[in-house]
Amino acid sequence: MHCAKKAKVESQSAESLDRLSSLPPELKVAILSKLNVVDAIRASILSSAWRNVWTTLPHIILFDTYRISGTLRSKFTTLGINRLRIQAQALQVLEVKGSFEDFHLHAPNLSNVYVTLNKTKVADRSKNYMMQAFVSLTGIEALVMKRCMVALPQTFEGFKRLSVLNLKYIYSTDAGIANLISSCPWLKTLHLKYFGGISCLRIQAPALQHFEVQGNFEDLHLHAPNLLYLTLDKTETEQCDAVAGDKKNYPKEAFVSLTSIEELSINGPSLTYLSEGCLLTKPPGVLDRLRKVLGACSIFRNAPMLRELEIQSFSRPDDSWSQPIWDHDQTEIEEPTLHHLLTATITGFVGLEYEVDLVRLLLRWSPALEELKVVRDDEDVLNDACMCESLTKLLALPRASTKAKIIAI
Amino acid sequence: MAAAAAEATIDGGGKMIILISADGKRFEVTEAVASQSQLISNMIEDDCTENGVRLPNVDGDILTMVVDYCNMHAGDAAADGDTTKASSTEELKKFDAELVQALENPVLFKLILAANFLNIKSLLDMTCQRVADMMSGKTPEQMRETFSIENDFTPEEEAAIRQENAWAFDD
Repeated sequence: MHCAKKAKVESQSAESLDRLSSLPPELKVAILSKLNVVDAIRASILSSAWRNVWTTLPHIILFDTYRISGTLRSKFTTLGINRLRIQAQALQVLEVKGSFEDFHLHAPNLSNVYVTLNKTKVADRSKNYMMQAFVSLTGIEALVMKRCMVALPQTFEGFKRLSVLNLKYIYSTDAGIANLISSCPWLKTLHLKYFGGISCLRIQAPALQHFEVQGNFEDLHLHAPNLLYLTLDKTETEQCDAVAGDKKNYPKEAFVSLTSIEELSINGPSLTYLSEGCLLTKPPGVLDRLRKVLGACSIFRNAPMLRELEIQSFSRPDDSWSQPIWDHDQTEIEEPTLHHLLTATITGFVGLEYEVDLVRLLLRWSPALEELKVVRDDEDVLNDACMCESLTKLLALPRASTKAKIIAI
Repeated sequence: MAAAAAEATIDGGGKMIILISADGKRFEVTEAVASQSQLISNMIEDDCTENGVRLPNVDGDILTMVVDYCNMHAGDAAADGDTTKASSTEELKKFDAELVQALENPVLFKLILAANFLNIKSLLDMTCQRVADMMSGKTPEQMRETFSIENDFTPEEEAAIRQENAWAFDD
């Protein structure tokens, strides 16, 4: 406390002498723009008043003569519109935030690129410049882009060494995104979150191991035979028409190739969506929840290597409490065997009958199961007696695995 | 100054206007001289200079320098085709160089603020260039010393900023 006070007094007395720092921002920029860019960047450590001034320069030109190597990391704020030109043989990591009217990049040894554009209209013309700037960087290994438009020029030769691609708040087309993904033969990790303009997501990625998708799309074509971790989160909440038209085939196709999958995480709406395409027969007048189980059943059958499963239960006790979850049609469904499933977790458990049914199935299908964890929903717990009854039922369920432990938290 | 003003009148510089500094000093200049300030030029266009132009942001000693500068440069725009231009350009350069060289903290910064307020682009450019020249090629420590800038970063913060663009700090 004492120190802080002292510092304040000192800075006040210094302020009267330091007329340079008390100039308004546009004059600081005017002065820095008369310096060479290296001196302008050095000014960032003068004091907090100078911290980010250089990033507001209207034109920034970085050339090799400045011996740029290693990392360039800057947040370009939006006092003016930036024109950024970077020409640097030795530059390896580039991390920029801002909004650029013009962006030229020649950095053949760049390996990691992180770009976040400022919030502006997503279809803004300048966003195209960004992608154009990167397509020549065929050697990059990681690309993280936020708020940009993904549209590749005809001349795009692919990111031959790209292994990590992370796109957030992007706008693209079915062809645009399919083209980008299929031009990255070594893509191992793909994160795709919040996008527009894509209705059918075609992912053809032979080396892909980790795939996370969160957003609004109608169909998914997933060809990724080496996929190990999949997280699907379809944000669209509207109910798809059950088994309507041709669409039912897409999700089925989506999961056929996933023979190596080890971890699968799917949220509620996606589960419904998937179940519609994965049905073997059209179930007569089934409930939403029944379809979910059937869908899950189908996913399990297509994923014999599944090791870890986590299910989050979103229950509405009032409308489903006494309804049966599993009807006579279950006999038509070929039951899967999950030889490799070791752990299963069900979160948000409130003790509903269908939840108990799901646990029963998992226990029956999993001969190698070691642990089944039931996590109770704190906010939505039914009365204790009900929960007690459900847990008692759970513990009495037959288990295919002799090692299977049931843990309730 | 009087001679320059008279000349300007003969050249057709027209009306005189009065500039009044923050401390009440009055300067009589021609419209042609005063118009180098975009601020005053706009006021002349809008006919708001009748009762003198009050400049509450500019002290008398600074305004003296500004008026001297403007008087010297008044010929710039008007004297196209003038046979004496070559020599006067040289004179101007000498005048500017001497003016700028003589400028030190804090007068330099007062002049920058005045040039910015009055919107006299050439004077603003010249004074900002002077500051840039004083910064150029210096280490951050030397820059701080030159301008009495207090380093308010902790050593950790400073190291982090250096790290961001480490190449720029390699000496």
